[in-house]
Amino acid sequence: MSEKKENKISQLFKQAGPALFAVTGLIQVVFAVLWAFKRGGAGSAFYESVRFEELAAAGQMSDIYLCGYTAFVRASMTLAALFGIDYKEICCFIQIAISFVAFCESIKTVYFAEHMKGIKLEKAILGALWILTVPFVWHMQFCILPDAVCLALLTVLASKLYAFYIDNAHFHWDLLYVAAGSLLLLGLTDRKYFYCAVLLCFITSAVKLIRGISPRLRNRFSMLVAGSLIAVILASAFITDKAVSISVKQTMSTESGYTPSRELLNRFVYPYLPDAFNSLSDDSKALITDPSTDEVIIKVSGLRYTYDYMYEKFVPKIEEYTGSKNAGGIYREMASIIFKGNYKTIGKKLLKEVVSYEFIPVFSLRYIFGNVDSYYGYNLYDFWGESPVLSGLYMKAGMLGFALAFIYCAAANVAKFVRKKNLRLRMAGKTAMILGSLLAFNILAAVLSVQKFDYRIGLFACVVWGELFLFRTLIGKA
Amino acid sequence: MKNIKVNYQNLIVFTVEALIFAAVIFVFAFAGKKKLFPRIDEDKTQILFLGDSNFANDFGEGALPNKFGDRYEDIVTYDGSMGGSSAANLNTEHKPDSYSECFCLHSISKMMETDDFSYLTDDPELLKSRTGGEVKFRTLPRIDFGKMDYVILNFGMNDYLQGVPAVGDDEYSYSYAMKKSIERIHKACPNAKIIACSVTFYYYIDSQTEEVVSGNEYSFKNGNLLYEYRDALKDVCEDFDYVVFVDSLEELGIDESNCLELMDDNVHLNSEGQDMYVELIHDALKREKE
Repeated sequence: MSEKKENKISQLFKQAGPALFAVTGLIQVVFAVLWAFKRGGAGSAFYESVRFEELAAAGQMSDIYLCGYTAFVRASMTLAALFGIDYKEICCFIQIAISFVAFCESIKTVYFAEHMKGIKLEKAILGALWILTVPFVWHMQFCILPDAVCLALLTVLASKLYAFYIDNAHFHWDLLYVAAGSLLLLGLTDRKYFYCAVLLCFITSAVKLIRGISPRLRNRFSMLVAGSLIAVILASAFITDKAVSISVKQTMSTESGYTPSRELLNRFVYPYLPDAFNSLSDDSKALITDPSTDEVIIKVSGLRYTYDYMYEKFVPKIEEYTGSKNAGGIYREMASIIFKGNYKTIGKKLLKEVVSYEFIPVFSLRYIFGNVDSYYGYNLYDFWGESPVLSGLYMKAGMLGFALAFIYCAAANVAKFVRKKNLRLRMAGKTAMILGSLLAFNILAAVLSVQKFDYRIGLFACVVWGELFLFRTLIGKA
Repeated sequence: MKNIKVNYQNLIVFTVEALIFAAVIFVFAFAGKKKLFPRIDEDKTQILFLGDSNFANDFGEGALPNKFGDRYEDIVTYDGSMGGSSAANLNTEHKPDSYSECFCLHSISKMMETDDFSYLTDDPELLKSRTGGEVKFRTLPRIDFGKMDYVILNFGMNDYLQGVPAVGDDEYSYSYAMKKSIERIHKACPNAKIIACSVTFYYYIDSQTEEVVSGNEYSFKNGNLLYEYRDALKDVCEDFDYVVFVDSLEELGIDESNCLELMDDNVHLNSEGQDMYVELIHDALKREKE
């Protein structure tokens, strides 16, 4: 191919990015505004939102539904009473505001780390709007669930971690402040997000510390920040754990909280019980059988594997018989038996989910346009509200646009990798760091979640891919 | 003032590319799904049945829609009925695995309007435990609703049993759920007349007196009496010129005197009762055609 022709194709390709940004952005924003007006405020009956409302109204919390979000709902209720409006509208408004500011801040942080200068405000605003109005992300802003707030905190933290990863020239005080603040808030709001955030912090610290071993790359600032970050993680874990256990005792919660062994039960035992019941030891079988009625605690044939159902009903019932101290060992034993017998099925299912979350912009289409066993249908039903046609179009057009954005972003990066030989090492390092961290995040998030695709788990991946696309089109190279 | 130089060539390329992207997105977003039904006999009257267990129960000769199709040669029927379905969204657990939300008519009509049955088809396990669940799962998403001539509805018994308010202004009430569902079904099936059948008879036997007590004298969970659901539906139907109301409670002729012979239990019609229901609906169809 002649050089002239090659340049022309390259020019066309370069211009396609901003065109795609403009089209997808316009579609998303127009649909998102219409959808928001039609919906009015948050729908309430969606996953655990009813429970959060009940707890907030009663001024209580539990070991699953932590005080952070319950307090947020409670505060919204108080404000609503003052202003005479629906508290759900206040919740939505605050969630949108927090998310918008968080996405702006994260774009600014990454841009500064890449270019060592500030980004134009209008670009940060447009970028934040683009990410905010991705249908999955926008939906969460209108739910009485902690996901929107947690995602915002996580996004800011992740951008600071990325800046710390690529920039050795500065002492990242801001990372330490943000990590301390967001980890404390996440620890009091949602444990799953907290664990995932801790994982991201650990990965970044570990990479910086390992690189610090090499005398050429050693940087005392980086080593100091990485060390401090680990101290921040430990301190926040200790503080939030204490705070949660004290407040749970005060509000007399009846629900069981998260522990590693209960997580094993959730992921590796509970969903497989209908098929694997007979493979369990006699002790375990007896344990999940009610001695007074001689019936299995939860009718195994009709067992549904919802996360909260397990924690609300299954675990308390078992621990009533065994005591919570002994239960951990029994859960581990059950998990080990079932995992050994079903490791192929378990591994395959986990892999499918993780891949779906990792590349959510394209894999979500499999759930949107196909009939795949997942929670997509349930989520979509809430998303529809009372205007299913408009919502359905928004979901399909929005996510198709997002998939195109992902494909463009991937193609642009591959093209750059092929053409710019001198940048290959740096690009490979960055890509490995971003995708690797995202993968670790998604594995942990999938293990901590119910065993089906639920786009709430893929929200962080949406933001990451969204930002990568923005840095290829609207903003500049990243 | 800054002199801004516009590169028209770039602008044209940008516009063309943007239009191509927009076209791709909208073509795929609007693309309809391939339909299997009607597969044959398109000249015959096409009828879709949506209802609860009184339509879905099978006593060996097929469920009521099948009986209907077998009995009348000029009619092709499609069964979208399933046991336990209510019209209203039941205000119960609100969990992904809860049965009540995705099977109620209020939800099904949304799926029909959008032609997106993800909620029904994303969890096939959920459907297996319900009478007619798998039929509904396999049939509904594959029907070309635009080709239906009639849609026959039979909802209300489960609303009555669950104490759903007969009249209200949200999806948790029977009248609102029926009204919204009828509007949505009409959008999905613009060429179809809707025949809305009221609740059928309910009874229980008083353990003290051993007398049959009708649902017209007894309500569940502070809900309404049986005839109030019938009246609520009648009022709803009056607002639409494309809806025909059938008073199944009255016209089916089942009451305290014959319910033990014509019903399988205190809720469900038996095979003979179903035959009578087939006749009643067919009479309504005939009247409508005349």
